Amino acid sequence: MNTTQQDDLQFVRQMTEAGNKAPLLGGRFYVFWGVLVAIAFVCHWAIASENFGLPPVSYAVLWSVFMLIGLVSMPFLIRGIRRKPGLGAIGNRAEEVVWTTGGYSVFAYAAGTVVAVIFAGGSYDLFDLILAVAFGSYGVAFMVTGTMANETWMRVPGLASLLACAAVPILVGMPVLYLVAAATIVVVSVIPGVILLRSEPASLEEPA
Amino acid sequence: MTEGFDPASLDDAIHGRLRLGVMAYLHQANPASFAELKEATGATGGNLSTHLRKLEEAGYITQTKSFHERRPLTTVAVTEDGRAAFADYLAAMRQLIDGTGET
Repeated sequence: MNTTQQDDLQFVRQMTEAGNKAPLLGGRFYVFWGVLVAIAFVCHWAIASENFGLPPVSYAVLWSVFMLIGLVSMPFLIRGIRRKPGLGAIGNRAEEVVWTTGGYSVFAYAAGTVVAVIFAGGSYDLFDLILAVAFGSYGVAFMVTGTMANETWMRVPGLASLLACAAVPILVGMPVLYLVAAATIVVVSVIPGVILLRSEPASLEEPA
Repeated sequence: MTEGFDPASLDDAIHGRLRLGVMAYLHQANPASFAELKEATGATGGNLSTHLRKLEEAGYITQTKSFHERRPLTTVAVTEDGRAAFADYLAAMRQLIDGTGET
């Protein structure tokens, strides 16, 4: 094999590795949802603790505003990564699917809980268990994303999420659950998001 | 030339440094934008366009042109035929390398 052929094979290897090692692009989503959820949990605690005299209808207002902010913001967040290199890499595709599906699972459980409480006399504690579904989903999402993108550090927030999942049934019915959850969200969502954002490549413009 | 190796088994559409590099990249990150491929390969825009056209004519990739925030965005995706052709190409190269005993 001559030098040119060896150079060509080295080039192909570089291309393969460049595609395989594309940085994860979900950092902004982790930070945005982490901050939003943490604030919502603190507000939920403020209502549940009854320290501030807020009526129960405040829960509905709080979570409606939460969903509205989330829905309005998502297109802007998605727009921000459209020109990032590596969007089609396996790690980023896996990240998109597992986190989106995780979000749907939380929404599905929450919707079922609302129906159960309003129409079937379900316990209000069912609402608290939404957090268990969420942290369980976080755990799965971190493990899958970390494995597919070769980001082994993601096992740490993944395991922390699973521990939080286990803690929810222990604290169910106690307002402090939401303060603990808010602090946990900072650890398992905001901090990993900042880590990812720091290594995120710049958007690329197409030549005219 | 290695005994038993048929040079005709190397796909002309892929057999070229830049086209091979594009196929290797898309094998790992699919789809990719034109700008992303340009940065990854280090090619000029004109050269990359020429080679992408050859891959497209062979049916190995698709190029979708769109606008994002009023600026052009070309998305390049490998097709099933392209995946198969790349796998065949690698198999042919492996045969060549194994035959010579070189790495």
